[in-house]
Amino acid sequence: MATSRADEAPSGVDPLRGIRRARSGAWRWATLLAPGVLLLVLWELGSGPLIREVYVSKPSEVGERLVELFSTGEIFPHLLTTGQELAWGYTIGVLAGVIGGYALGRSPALTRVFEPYIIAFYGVPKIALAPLFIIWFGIGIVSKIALAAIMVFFLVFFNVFMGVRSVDHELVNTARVMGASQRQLTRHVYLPGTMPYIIMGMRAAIPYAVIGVIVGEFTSAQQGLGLYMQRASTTFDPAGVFAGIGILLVFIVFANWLLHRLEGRVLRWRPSSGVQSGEAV
Amino acid sequence: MLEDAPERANAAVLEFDEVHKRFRSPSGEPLHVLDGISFAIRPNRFTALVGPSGCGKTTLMQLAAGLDVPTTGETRYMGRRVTEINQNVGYITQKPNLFPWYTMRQNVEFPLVLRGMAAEKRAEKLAEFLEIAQLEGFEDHYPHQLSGGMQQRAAIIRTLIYSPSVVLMDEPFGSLDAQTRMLMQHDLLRLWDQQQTTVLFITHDLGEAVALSDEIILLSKRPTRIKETIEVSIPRPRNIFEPYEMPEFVSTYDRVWGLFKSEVVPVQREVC
Repeated sequence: MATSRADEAPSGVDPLRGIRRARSGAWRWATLLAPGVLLLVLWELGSGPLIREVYVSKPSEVGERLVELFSTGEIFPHLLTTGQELAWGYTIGVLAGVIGGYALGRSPALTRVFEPYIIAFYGVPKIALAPLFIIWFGIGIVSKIALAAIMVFFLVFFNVFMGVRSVDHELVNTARVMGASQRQLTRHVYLPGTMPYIIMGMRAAIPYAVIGVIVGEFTSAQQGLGLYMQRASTTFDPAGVFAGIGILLVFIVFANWLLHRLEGRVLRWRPSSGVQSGEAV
Repeated sequence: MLEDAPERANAAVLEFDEVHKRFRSPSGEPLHVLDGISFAIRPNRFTALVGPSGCGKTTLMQLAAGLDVPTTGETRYMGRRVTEINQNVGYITQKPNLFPWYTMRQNVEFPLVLRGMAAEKRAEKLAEFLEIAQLEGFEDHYPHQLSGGMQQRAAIIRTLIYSPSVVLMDEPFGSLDAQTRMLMQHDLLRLWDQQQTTVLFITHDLGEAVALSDEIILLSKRPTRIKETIEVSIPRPRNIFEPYEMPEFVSTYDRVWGLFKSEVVPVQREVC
């Protein structure tokens, strides 16, 4: 069943294909953007006549604010701080989660001892640790990194732990009978078998890293997007809050896109039908 | 564990010695599967295991591969008790069990990679075996892009490519269509002739068992015992494509069927 053959049809067969494809592409974008545009329009029109502008601001105002923030450079130190916190927190959380989840998943003895604890801690809202982390790590970037890292860690850890344990046992046995050493098993069977879960965890963890960092900055900070937004909201400046949210939105979309590309590369071997994507929950 | 084995020039490669295996079914009832199985496989012979479904044929394979241990009794490889994974056997399972993250080429080469074989040598071997299994041109396909038969063929050559001294085959051709099946049987016999390996082969198909093997071990229903061991003395090379032309094929087949019938056909129906 060589499905790839379909792509090899000579391109001269359908002269309208290029146009059709472009048109369907434009249609796709239009349907994708329509709800967002509609929301912005309603917001713009409704702000004032329906809801007082001091509560919700309006898109044109937020846009102006964004231009101002970037042209004066006022936002850059905040962006730099928040960016660093996100990058470090996310990376540390993912690495620790993958290593920890993998080690525990491979060892039945460790699993027996630690599984109940992990499950218990998984359910605890880590965000409640924010004030404590400020006390422990200060009001600088370390406390935010720690908060983001711990939120990311648990998510990735849990996914990877489940992933390792769901690797098909028959594949493991097949490799063992063929003479695979423990290291070869890790490299050729367990790691690739767990990869969908790792990617899944990494994807789900992006918003959690953002929450960790922003809540940390809300709680207490010297610099950062969260601090900027918090100041804006306490000074009745909704445009500032929405500008901050807009920036975070762009960041999340970008990070998701990056991960989607990574997924396409690393999980090339998976059937592209949507059926399997629900597997790694 | 590694007691020194005496001279074993023509002694058994694989032995089952009074092997019993009991399982507990999901509902908790004990299930007595193997009830004292003893047999020995001599080197370079092709032995077929035939028995009704559920009689524990696959369990015997797993014991030989060291993937399971008997409840009582023991399994020996070259005179040594099998207590851990037995890496001297090649095990072709009922399911192809290809690694979905590797292409067909990477899958077939896998055991050679594990052994650290150089790339050029691997390529040479790969080409040879792909030709036998008629899989050329699909090297870069992932398993899900191959048909069931192609997957199974890839799985078979993945084991044969590293020439294990004993090959365990658990209904390897069950999922193939009749033509491919015949070709694969033919090629298997050819390879087996060249490589001089020992084969233990599970099948449901009596015709297949008679056409391929030197010896047929017939198992009973659960709790499973050996019902009969039948020598197949059809001369080699054998003609897989027209089995009925081979001398003694029909008489051997009839004999095996006569013994097997009572295990699979309910007694009442046998009368009419």
